[in-house]
Amino acid sequence: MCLDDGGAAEVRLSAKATKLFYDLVWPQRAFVLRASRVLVANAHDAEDLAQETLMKAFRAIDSFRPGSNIRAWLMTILRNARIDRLRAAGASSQALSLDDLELDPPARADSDEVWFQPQDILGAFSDEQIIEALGDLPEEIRWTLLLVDVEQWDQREAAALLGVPVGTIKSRTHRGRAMLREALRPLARRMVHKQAGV
Amino acid sequence: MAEPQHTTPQTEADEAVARRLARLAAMPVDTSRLDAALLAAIPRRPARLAMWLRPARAVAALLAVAVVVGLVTWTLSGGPAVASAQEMARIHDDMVAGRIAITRVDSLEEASRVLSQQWAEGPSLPQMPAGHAMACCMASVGGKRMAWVMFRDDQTPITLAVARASDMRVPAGPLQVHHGVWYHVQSTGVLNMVSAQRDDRWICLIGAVSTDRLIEIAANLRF
Repeated sequence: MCLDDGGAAEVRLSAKATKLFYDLVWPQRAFVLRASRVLVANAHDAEDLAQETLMKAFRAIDSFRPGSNIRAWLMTILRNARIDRLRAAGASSQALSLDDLELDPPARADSDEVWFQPQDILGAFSDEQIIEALGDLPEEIRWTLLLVDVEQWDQREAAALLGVPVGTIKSRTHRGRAMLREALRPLARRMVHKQAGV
Repeated sequence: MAEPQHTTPQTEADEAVARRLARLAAMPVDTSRLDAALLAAIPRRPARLAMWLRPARAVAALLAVAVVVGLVTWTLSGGPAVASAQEMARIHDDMVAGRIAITRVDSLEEASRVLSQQWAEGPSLPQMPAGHAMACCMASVGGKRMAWVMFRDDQTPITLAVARASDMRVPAGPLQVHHGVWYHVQSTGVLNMVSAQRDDRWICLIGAVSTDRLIEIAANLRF
């Protein structure tokens, strides 16, 4: 795991910031790591992203308003850290492009016998399989599903964080769920065939 | 963007995906490497230089040194050691961050074997139902030896320290009784710790979880 921006040497310690960090942010580290895993399929990269997010949170701890939602604050930092990483990797135009999102959901997403009993099939997938499938989705779709479906954020809150209208969140949510089913289709088909003894 | 017509009502497949994704919010994650990196980058204690530059803290540090010297002197005289929250937390943090020599183990039985080789006459470890030990080591507090075992509760590292009851003394502080056993409760920073005397053993559980949870774990130990 790499240390962020030159590591501990750059961290300017103050007792107050340290205490605030350990009181407020430290208990949320599993939450940040979990959100990073949903966004980044590679576990090692997700740990790096989570660490960078928490280090940025430490540096910016004075800007956190007591009483406000710590998870929303951390999610904002996580989003900025993720965008910075994508840009640094030169992937911004591809990963953040939303042009393809205006298309209709895949036509066959719900019309296949594979999804005859979606609850049962989806429930049989492991977390790792779901995360891997999420990795095939566009970045902004992944963010929408993370906020709306995983973290159960209100659509208005998700819209505020992602900087888009609420209608876009609704559209992306529906589209993302269909795309996720499509990404899981090969696995689901194998599962159905296995259950049927084919 | 115009609101799409297909968002309401949700299809059964949509709801199924939403429910499956919601389960990811409870997905277990291993924070041990993240914990170690953060603890290394953001020490809980402020920089020593800054501390000495502040008179109030310098006075406090002098008092702390005096207390430590007193404790060491008293310990060397043969009396029981004081298990201060700060000292116990330091060893806990060092163990979690891998700053002290530890032995990786896969079970409490393996930890018992490893520790008995290093401290043959030491107290035996209690049994832990479904316990999954990750590491163990020996450490001393106030000159008194302790066997330490690290395991996980959900994703949070917990350490269990075991010493001879006659070797240890807990500073005055709040007590909680659970199923007839009195537990001393201490905390420092984000760490809570509970300690108790069981048979001829003194045990202490430390972790960034509630004291109720630590007492619950302690109550499930079998002696």
